[in-house]
Amino acid sequence: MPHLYLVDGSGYIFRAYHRLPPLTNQHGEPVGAVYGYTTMLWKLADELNRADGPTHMAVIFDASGTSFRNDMYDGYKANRPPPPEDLVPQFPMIRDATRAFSLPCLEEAGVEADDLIASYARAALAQGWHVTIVSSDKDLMQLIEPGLDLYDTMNNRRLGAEAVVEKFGVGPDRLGDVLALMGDSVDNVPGVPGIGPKTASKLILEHGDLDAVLAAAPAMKPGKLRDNLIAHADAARLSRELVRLKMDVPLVHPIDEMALKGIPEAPLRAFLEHHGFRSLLARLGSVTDSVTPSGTTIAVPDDPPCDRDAYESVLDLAVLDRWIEAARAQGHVAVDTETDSKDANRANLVGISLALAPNRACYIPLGHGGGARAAEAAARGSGRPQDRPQHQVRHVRARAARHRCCAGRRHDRDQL
Amino acid sequence: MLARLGIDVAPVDDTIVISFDLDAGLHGHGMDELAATHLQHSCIAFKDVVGSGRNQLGFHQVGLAEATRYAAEDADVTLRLWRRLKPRLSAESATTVYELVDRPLIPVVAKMERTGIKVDRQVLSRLSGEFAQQIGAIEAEVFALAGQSFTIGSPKQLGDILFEKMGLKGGRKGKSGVYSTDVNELERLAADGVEIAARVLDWRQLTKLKSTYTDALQDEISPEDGRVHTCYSLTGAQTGRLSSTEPNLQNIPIRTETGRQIRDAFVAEPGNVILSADYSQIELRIAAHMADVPALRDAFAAGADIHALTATELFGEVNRDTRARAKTINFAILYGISRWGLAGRLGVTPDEAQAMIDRYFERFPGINRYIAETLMGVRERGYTTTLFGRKTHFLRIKSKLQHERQGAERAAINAPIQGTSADIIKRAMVKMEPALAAAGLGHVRMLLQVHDELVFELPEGDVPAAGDVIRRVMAGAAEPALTLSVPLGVEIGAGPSWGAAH
Repeated sequence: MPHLYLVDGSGYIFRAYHRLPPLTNQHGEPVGAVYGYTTMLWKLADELNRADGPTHMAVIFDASGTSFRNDMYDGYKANRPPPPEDLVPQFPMIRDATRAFSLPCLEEAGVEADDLIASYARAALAQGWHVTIVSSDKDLMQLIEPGLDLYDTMNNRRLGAEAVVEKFGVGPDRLGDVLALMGDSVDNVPGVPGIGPKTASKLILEHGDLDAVLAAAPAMKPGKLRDNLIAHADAARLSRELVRLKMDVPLVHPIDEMALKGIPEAPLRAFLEHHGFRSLLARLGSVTDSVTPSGTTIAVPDDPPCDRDAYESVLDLAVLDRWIEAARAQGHVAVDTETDSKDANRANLVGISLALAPNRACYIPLGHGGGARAAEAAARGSGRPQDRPQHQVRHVRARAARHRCCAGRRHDRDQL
Repeated sequence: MLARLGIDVAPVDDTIVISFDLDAGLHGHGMDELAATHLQHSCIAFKDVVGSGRNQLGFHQVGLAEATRYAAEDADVTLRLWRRLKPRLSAESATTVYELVDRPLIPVVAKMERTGIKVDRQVLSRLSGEFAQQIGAIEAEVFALAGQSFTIGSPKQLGDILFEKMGLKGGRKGKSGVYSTDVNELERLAADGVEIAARVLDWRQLTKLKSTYTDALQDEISPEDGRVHTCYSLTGAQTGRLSSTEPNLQNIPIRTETGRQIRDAFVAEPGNVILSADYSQIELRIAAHMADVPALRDAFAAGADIHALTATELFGEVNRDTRARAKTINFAILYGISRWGLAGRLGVTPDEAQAMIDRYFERFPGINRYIAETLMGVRERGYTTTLFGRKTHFLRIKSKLQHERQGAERAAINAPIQGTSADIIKRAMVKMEPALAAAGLGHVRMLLQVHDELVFELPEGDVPAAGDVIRRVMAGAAEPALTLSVPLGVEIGAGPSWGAAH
C-alpha cells in the first residue's frame, strides 16, 4: 500500500535551528539548520524500503506573507518576533536541499503549511493510502486517525491517538476544542485567559465540545473561570476557527507524482559538496571518485540566443491564465514593467512583461493607445468588465504572489 | 506603483543588486550592460523604440508588436541574468551582504521614496532671491577685479581673463587649447592670494546651489502632496553607500551656513517635527575596530574627545589649533592621503606633513598595519571587503599609470571603512520600522538617508520615545551579525525643519 510522507519543512527549520550548533560552511554562510534538515531527509529516504517507510514524499513550506487566518483575526501570529537573522539566509537553502533530494517542494500563498498538509493528507487517505506527517506540531495532531500518524524525527517517536490523549487528555477529534480554550501565545491565538491544558481538557471531557462548554458557563459555580468563559466566549469561538485546519486547498501537485523512485545522485552530490557536508558525502560514496568536478565553479547555463520573434503579446485572459499557471508550476518568474516615465514616483504603468525560461517571454499591454485614458481605451477592446487592465494586473499579482521568487529589477520593484 | 494600486509582491530578487553585490567596481550594473557582459547580447535600445528629441514617444504610444519585442526581451534577459548571477552569490560568499544588508533594504528604500519629505516652496524662492543678489554682488566684484565684464560661467573666457589679460602665472592649457580653470587650479591661485580666484570659487558654489537646489528643488515638489520624492540607488556608489538623484540630497553642503539655509526648506507637516539622527564619527570608530587600535578604542569606549586625544599624541598639547589639525589628519589618513595632499590641507610643507603622518603611524601602529594589509589584499585579489563581506573591485590597482594606481590605492584604503559604515546604516534602516512598530510608534516615518544620517518625521510629543528607539536601533545595527569593539554613538536633534533638527 502506498505510504505518503508529508514533511512539515517550516516547522522543522525552527526546531533544527534551536537544537543544532551554529555551523558555518566554507563560504561563511550559516548552515546549522540546513545541516539538520539534510540529515533528517537522508534518514527518511533511508527508510524507503522499510515496512512503514515512505513510498511517496513531499516537503511543505509556509509561503511568505499572511494567510486567510489574518483575515479572520488580524492579530494572528502578530506577536512573532522576526526569525533570527542567521536563520533567514537558510530558508532558501533548505528549499535547495529539498530539490537536491529531487523531492517536491510545495507552498501556497494565503494558506499555511499545516493547511496544505491537511489537504494532501485527506486526498491520500481518500485513496486508501497510509499517511505520515513528519512533524511534532500540536495543531497537526488534530489530523491523527487510523492510517495517519505523526513522526517526530528528532525524538525518533511516532505519535498516534494515544500520544494525543496522553498529552492533552482528549483524542485528536476533540483536540481543536482544547487548543481553542488554551489559546497559543506564540501564534497569538487568544483562547480564554486563565485556562491551560489541564482545565481545557477537563472542561471538554466534561461537556463534550467547545460550544457545550460555553453554553454551560452561566450555570457553573461563580468564580474567575466562569466569568472568563462568559466574557471571552467570542474569543474562544474565534480561536476554534483559527486552529481549525483547512482541508480543501486545491491540490496543485498530484500525489501520484510524489513517488520516490530512488534519489538521483548528481544534484545531491553537488549540494553536499557546495556546503562541505563531508560525513554525508562519505555516505554517498567516495568523494574522490566523483564524476562532477567539485569546488566553487558555477556551471554557466547554456542558453540559446535571444529570439525576439518567440515572444508573445498577451491579449486575452485565457492566454494570461496559461502564463500564470506555468509561472506557478515553475516557482519563479522574471518581471519587468514598462512605464511612461523613468521617475518611479510619478510614472504610469503601461505594461508588464514576464519570462519563464530563455525565449519564453511575454508582454502584457495595459496602457497602450496613447493619452491618459489609454487604460480605459484598451479595456474597451475586449468589452468584458473583468478584462479591465487593472483587474488583470491584480489577477497576475494575486497569483504571482504565490511564487517563491521573482527575478526583477529595482525600478520594477518600485512599480510593483 | 502597483503598491499604489493595492498590489503586493512575493519575495523579489533584484538582478542589478545581485550584480552589484558580486561585481562592484568591475563594470556598471544596468541591464543592457549586464546583457552585453554576461550574455554577449545587445538589447534593443530604448531610444530605437521611442525615438529621441522632439519626436520622442511615450512607451504607451509604441505599437504592440514593437513593444512586445522590447519589453519581453527585458524580462527574458532579466531571467537569464538571474539564472547566471544568483548561484554565484553563495559560491562567491556574497550571500551575507545580499541577504542581510541589501535585499531587505529594497522595500525600505522604496517606501522612503514614496513617502518623500515636505518642502516649503516659499523658503526656497526667498533663498533663490537672496542667492541671486549675492551672485550679482560677487559678479560686480569679479568684473571690477578683472577690469571688464565677461561670462564667469565660461571656462574659456575665464581662462583668457586670468592667464592672458591679468597675466597670472601657472596657466595650463588642456587638449582643447583652453586654460584649465578647475577647482584645483582656482584653489591654488586663491591660496597664493589671488582675490579674483577666491571670488570665482564663491560664485561657482552659489550658482551651483541656486541651480541644483533652491531653483530646481521647487520643480521637484510633487503637486499631489507637496513633498519631494528623491530617488535612491543601491548601486550608485562603489563602496555600497546609497546615492540619490532628483534631487541629489547627498551634495547639500554639510557644515556651512548656506547648507543649513537649504535644509530649512525641508519641513514637517503641521503638528509634526523633523528628527535627525546622525552617527557620530562612525568611520573613525570602524577604523579603530578594524585596525585594532587600543588607544582609539579605549577613547571611544570612554566617550573621550578623539580629536583632542590625537592632538595630544601628535603635538603634545590640545588647543583649538592642534585639535583642528588633528581632526584633519584623522580623516585624511582614512582616505589614504599623500604627504602632498595633507600639506595642502594643513598649509605646511610636504616634509612637515610626512613627519606628521609618520608620527601618527608611530602613535597608532594598528592603522599602518591596516593600510598595509588592505593594500596587500587588494593587490592580490583585486578587491577589498567590508566587515559584512561586501566586495569592491579596483581594476586600476595594477595600472601602469602612477596617478591611476595611487588613486585606486587611496580608494581601496577607504572602501572597507566607508563600506562597513554604509552596511551598518543600511541594517539600521531595515530594522527601524519593525522596532518603531513594536514600540507603538508605527506612525513615525523614515524619510531620508544622507551619508551617516537618518531623517524622520513624527508628532512632536513622540520625540523622546522615538529618539530612544532610533538611537537603540542605530547603535546596535551591526549586531548580532557583527560585534564591534567600539560603541557606535548617535546624535539626535529635532525641530520644525531639517535645518533646525541639526
